[in-house]
Order: sequence, then structure tokens, then C-alpha cells
Amino acid sequence: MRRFSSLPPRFAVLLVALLLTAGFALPPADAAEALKGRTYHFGTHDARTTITFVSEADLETIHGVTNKISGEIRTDKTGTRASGSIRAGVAALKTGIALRDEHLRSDQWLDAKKFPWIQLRLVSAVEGKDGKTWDYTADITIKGKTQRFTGKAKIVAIPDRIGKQLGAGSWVRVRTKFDVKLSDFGVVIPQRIGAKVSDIWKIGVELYGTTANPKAKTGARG
Amino acid sequence: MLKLLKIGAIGALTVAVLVWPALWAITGQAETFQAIEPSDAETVLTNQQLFELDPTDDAEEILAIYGSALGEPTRYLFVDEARVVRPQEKPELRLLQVYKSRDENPLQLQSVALFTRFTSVGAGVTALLLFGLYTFLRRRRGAGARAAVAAAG
Repeated sequence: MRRFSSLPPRFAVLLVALLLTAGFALPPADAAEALKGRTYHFGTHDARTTITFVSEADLETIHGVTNKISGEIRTDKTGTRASGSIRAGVAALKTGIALRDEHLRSDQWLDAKKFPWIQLRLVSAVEGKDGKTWDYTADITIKGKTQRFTGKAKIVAIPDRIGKQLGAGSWVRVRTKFDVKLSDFGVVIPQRIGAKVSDIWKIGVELYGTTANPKAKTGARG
Repeated sequence: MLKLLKIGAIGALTVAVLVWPALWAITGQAETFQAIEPSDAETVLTNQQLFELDPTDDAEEILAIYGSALGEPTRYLFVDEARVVRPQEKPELRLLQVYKSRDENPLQLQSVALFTRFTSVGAGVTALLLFGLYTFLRRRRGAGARAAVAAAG
């Protein structure tokens, strides 16, 4: 104690800061460790689930969102490969205008009655060299038609010390972006004057998954 | 009748022309924001703590602390300032909180511009039709009057 108090004040502050940083930061090795052999459940909480879609139209740039998804992603024993699938309900897509949402659900567009889910299945997902970005190949099924695409996802294993405020379990954050060409899925967009809508949807994904199984009786959710 | 048609044609023509300076005036009020679907407080706090572990100047990473980006920066009109977030990590960013999940849809300048174009074209066509009808009726009335004079003479 005497030795510590004899240190110059600035040095003492620096020392404390270093100790705190060492204690709070998650070293990359621990991050990889955290992903080993885990099953992450997605869509357990609306606030931890956001999928956005953007479509250019004459009238405005249409921004849409859904918070209703479900799915699981499993990592292998090395924590560098993953598999799984996620699905989003067509009926829950929201663009900010109820009438437009209704059109979106109609048989001319996504046909929510016949095809209630948009499904994304990971064909392969491999951790990149930087340990943060993953390369993946996935099959996306819209309106009963499946297309394969590749993309990059940023995956962060959230340290338990931070993740506990999100709820029970260990958490992971997944972010990715990709484009979807609607005509590839049999969606025919009416091109009326003044109502032109782009064939391309730009999709943004921000999901938080937890190891706490929402179906387990003891799996209390935060 | 002829007078009404003339007033209608002039009125429609005035609308067709005046909507453009009106659009110009409104354009001055438009501001560019990056719209986001906001995250809840716990998620923002989590993202802030993760950001502190691996800080960056990347705007995309910083806005993602506060929510999910809704497309690219867009020009909006009549924005509620209370909805604007200026992140402490990059105060020059201007994020507009839009809860699409609660059926919010702020007015984009693009929509007003399209409405202006339609109004101008619609009013212009109306003006032409009314003016054509006015000219036709005026000529017919003139011919009728001349025929009456000739018959009387």
C-alpha cells in the first residue's frame, strides 16, 4: 500500500486503466473459444432482432423491417464453421404504411397465405482470417423458390460480462448484408406510371443469438 | 359558362406553373438523415461496450450502435428534432429514428417532388382542355351570332 501510494499520481492512474482494460477486454483467442460447439437461438426477443429491406421506388425509397424471425445456428467444435437456418414470417414485414404491407402480402407479391415464410439456410459458413468476418454460402427461399448466394457476415461473440444485460445465456451478434432480386423468385412487379418499384431488395441483418434455449422450461429469458 | 371556362383554364395553368417554385421552397426545408430502426436501451449499451473494445471511425459501425440502417442517407421533410440522434462517437452523423415496426413513415422529399410533377402535368393538361373547350365554344357562339345577324339582315 505504501509502495503504491508512493507512485506518481499519473502513473497510478495509467496502471489502474491498464488493469481495468486487461480485465474487461475480450482477447481474440477467447472470442474464438466462446464460439466453440455452441447452438445459438435467434429471434428470441424482438428487440434483439432486426432485418431491414430497402427498395427504390418512384414515390419514395421504401424502407421495411421485421423483428419476427426464428432459427438456430450451430458452430462446430473448432468454432470456425457454422450451420443452421433462420426463417422470417412474411406477414410480419412492415414498411410503415399498412396498405403497402397488405400489398406486399398479396399473391402478386410475396403471397403470405401460400408461402408464409422466407427461409435462409446456411450451406457453409467459415470464419475468415481476421476472426471477425465470416464467409458464407446460403440458400434463400422466397415464394417457394430457392436461390443460392454468397456473402460476408460480421460475427462477434459477446463477452458474458456484457451480454448478460441482453438476457440469459451467452450471446453472439451477427451482421450481414445482401441483395435479393425479386424476379428470381417469381415476384412480378407491376410497373405502373409513377409506381415503379425496383426489382432489387437490399437486405440488412442484425441479429443477436443466445445459447439459452427459449423452448427449455428452465430457460428464463431476459 | 365561357367566363367560367376561362377562369378554370387560367387557374389550372397557374397551378401547373406555381407548384415548381413551391417545390423549390420546400426543398430548402429538406434535410439529409440516415434513417435507422432504433435498438432498445440494452442493445445500445451492449453495442457501445463492444465498440469500446474495438473502436473505429467507420460511420457504418457507429450508426449500428444505435440501430439498423434503413438504406442510404435520404432527404426528409418536417422531421421531429427529438427523433434525431447525433452519436457521441461521431457527432457529424445525423441519425433519424424511424420505427417502421410501429408503422412510421416520415415524408421524403422524393415523394413531394413526384407529387409536384404529377400535379403540374395534371393541371397543365386540364388547362389545355379547358382552354380548348373555351375556344371551341367561343367560336361556335360567334358563328351562331353571325348567322343570326345574317338571317335578320
